[in-house]
Amino acid sequence: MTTKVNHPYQVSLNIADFPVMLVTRDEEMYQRLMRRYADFLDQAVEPLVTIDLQITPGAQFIAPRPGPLVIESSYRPEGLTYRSYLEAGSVDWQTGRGQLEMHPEAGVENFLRVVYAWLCLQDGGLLLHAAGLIRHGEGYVFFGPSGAGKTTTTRLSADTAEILSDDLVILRCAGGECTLYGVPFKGDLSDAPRANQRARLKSIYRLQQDQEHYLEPIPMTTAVAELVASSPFVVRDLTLSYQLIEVCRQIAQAVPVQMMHFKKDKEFWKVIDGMEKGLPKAAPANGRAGN
Amino acid sequence: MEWKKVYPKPHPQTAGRVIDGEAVLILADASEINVLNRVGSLIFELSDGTHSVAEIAQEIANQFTEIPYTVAEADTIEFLEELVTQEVMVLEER
Repeated sequence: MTTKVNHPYQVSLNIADFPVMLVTRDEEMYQRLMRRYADFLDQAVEPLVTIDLQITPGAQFIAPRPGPLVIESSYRPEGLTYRSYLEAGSVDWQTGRGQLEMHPEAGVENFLRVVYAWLCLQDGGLLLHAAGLIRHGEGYVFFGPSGAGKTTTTRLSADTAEILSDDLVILRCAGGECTLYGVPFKGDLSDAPRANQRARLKSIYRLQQDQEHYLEPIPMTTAVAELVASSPFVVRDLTLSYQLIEVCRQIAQAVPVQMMHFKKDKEFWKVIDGMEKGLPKAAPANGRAGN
Repeated sequence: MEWKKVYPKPHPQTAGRVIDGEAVLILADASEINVLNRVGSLIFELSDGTHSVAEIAQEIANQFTEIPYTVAEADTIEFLEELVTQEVMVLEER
């Protein structure tokens, strides 16, 4: 009796200079991954983590119930465990090996988000729940809870900026400067291109829908708290909480973080551009002090 | 409760760090982030399991000279009880 062993297919991702290799024996999945992550492929670098994908028909790890998406993950210095409805996996940080067992209909993306959140934080970076774009060669980040306006901001900027994401970006700081990186993960603007681009991070805006466009300074500690609160996955696990607060502090120290009160039109860029040129801004009509 | 013998410390599901005199607290169980004011941050910072409530109140009165000790003690107790209710802090009696 002979056993047919399929040739393993390798998908080498490089997101924000964190290379991760996915290995599958399923040609259809390989083709799907190659198409999905086409802009983020990089064969030239040694992977930090290699993840074996194993498809198991009928696999189920959490019984689906009505409510928000359930993703359980647990970080330890030696490794990471993960499970959701149709997939479960782990990563051993020491060996750089990981595995993901998945139902044929499951995807790798949620697992990758969790892996990247921890890879970033371990290395002093941050996966941030935020919209990111590049305008005139410089990076801008807009963040806030769901419904704050991240997708709206990117839609309104599409003709003047390169959209990196309306949902997740990666920030990495070194030497007092931060770099904004695009990620391939899908957000609400699922038809938008996900650009594998990077730019020096110019400023960060915490979105607040309002009747007027104006910027408001945020005290340093509040800025740190807001960034911490917008760090998916890692904020729910206290293992690296000091590191998380420190990374957010470094970002808030390197780049201005401001509250951006905005209504849903493109005029908010005039306020941002005016701020950068040092132009005085009119106070909002309701009498609140703008910056 | 004899506050000289009560030692507060952070709840296992809470982590915090003081930045510019203000504490950023992560409450993992509640998925909440809180920022404390300067007096609250000092109380949080001293609540490390080695200072009693009375010692913390004394330090508040020392650093904020406009606050008499009796007021500092009452405020510290009230604040700590609130943090215990929110599962930010636990009290240990020795």
